[in-house]
Amino acid sequence: MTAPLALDGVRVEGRDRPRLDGVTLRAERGLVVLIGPNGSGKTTLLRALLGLVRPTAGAVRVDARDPAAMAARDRAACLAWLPQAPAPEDGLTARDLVATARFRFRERWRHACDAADAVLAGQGLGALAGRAMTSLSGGEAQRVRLAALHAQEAAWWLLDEPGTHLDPGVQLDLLDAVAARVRAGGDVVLVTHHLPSLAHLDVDDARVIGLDAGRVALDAALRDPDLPARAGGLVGLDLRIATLDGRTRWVVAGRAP
Amino acid sequence: MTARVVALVGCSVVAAAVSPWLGPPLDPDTADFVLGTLRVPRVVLGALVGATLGLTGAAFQAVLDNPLATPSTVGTTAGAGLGALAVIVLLPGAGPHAVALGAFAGALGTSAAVAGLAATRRLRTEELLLAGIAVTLAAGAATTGLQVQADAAATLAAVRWALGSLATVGYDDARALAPLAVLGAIPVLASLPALHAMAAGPERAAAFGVDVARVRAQVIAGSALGVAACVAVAGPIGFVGLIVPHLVRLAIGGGPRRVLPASAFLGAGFLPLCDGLARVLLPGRDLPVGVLTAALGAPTLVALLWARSRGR
Repeated sequence: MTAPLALDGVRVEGRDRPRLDGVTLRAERGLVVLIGPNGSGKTTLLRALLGLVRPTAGAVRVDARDPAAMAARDRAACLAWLPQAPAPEDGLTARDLVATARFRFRERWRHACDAADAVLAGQGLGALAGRAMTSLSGGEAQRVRLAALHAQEAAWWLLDEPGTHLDPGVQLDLLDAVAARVRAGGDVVLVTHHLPSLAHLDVDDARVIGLDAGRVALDAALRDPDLPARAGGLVGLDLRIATLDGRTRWVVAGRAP
Repeated sequence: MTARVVALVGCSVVAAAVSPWLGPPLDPDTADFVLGTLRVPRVVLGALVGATLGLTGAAFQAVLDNPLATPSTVGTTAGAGLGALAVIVLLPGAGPHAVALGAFAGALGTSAAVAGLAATRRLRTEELLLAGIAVTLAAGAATTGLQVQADAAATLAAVRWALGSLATVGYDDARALAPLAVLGAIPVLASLPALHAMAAGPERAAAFGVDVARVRAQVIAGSALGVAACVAVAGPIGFVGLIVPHLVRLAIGGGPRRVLPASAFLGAGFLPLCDGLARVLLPGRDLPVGVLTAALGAPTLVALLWARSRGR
């Protein structure tokens, strides 16, 4: 188990069937994309990596350590998380949220706020720093949450459907932010069920893992020409490659035959 | 925003400062005694109790991530009431110190149970509140059972005690309460950064590096100590822990880093002011202060909520 992220026969029980049913995988650094239909176990896999659910069988290792047994601050140095439907950050300003994402550093609050302001300014969000999170638009709030991930300075980002409920343009901005992070040497696990957007990911390559009913059903490289057809089959879509203005795009032709 | 914080703290200080002089006009012969031995100590005691109830109310709301969580809703106050009543009814003739010890033991007992449940971290906060309501109801049933068995005098004493009162002579009560209130406030205030992170949700706070189970246990234990001490000297005073943090949130907003200390200040002004107004409304009758906190706090809260809902 030397890979940075490693799961060995991980099983997590659900109400009437296992949410993860013997998942084994190794991920090297870079970008790992998790796809699969609703209820296939993508979110549960992230939560197992974070130590928020404990497997009933198998082992999870992040940098060779069990995340559920790590001290909270050590885990926060390894893994930063953007949940699928973040709870409303009541009472917090954008600066509060980004500064509090630096909790693990044990620094003075004033210093954390300065660091938060620098990160927000670096992301072009300086004007939002003093605004209440609950007053921001969905796209603005999600950008601030990405800034919080930057501020946490963790090795891995675990992103759970970061584009859901956002305008298509904002979704592409988020993918660009993910790609920029990966090109800069960061590590990301991206959960998404919006498959066509994967063709927009501007990275050299990435690992795509498909889950189905709690099992690994697909494991391929992002640039594998067979990937769209196989990934589409996983979610019941006839997904094809098209070339528009010289760029490769994935197009939904209809339901899977 | 800073101006609002200063205004809130200023109002609280003024409220506490004027409250000794509220009430019927003083006889010049006894004015020194009434002010120095009765009213000023009463304000000091009220400010200590109010600050503790405000702080712990805000702390419970933050740590359990629920606007309804207060020491009175998770069973701490009910446990204290049961403990005090057990002493009043089962040990007739027991002095006030024995009653205080009973309240203290009851509050700590129920809080230990609730904190133990919270520390297991498998429990959702709604379930924890439900457990608190169950504890409150069970304590209420036991209280009624005790009252039925007791004689009329003990029952009257118990009912009187359950109304809550800041009546005090000299600084003995305040001196007894202060160290316990401070001791209870330390773990709560030390958890402010973690509570601030928990405003983004407990699981995200955990991902930011917060040991959520430990923070919960620490904050509930510290709050329980403070509340138990308050109930022991002043009886159960309702509404302050629930209303004060909400008034702060509606008036100045912000996260736990600001709401908790501001709630302590507002509580320290609000409770003595209510107590002083009780003297104005019914001179000489010693109207329980809990009646005033509810009568003043509830309409203010509704008005603020109304204003905010219209602003949306």
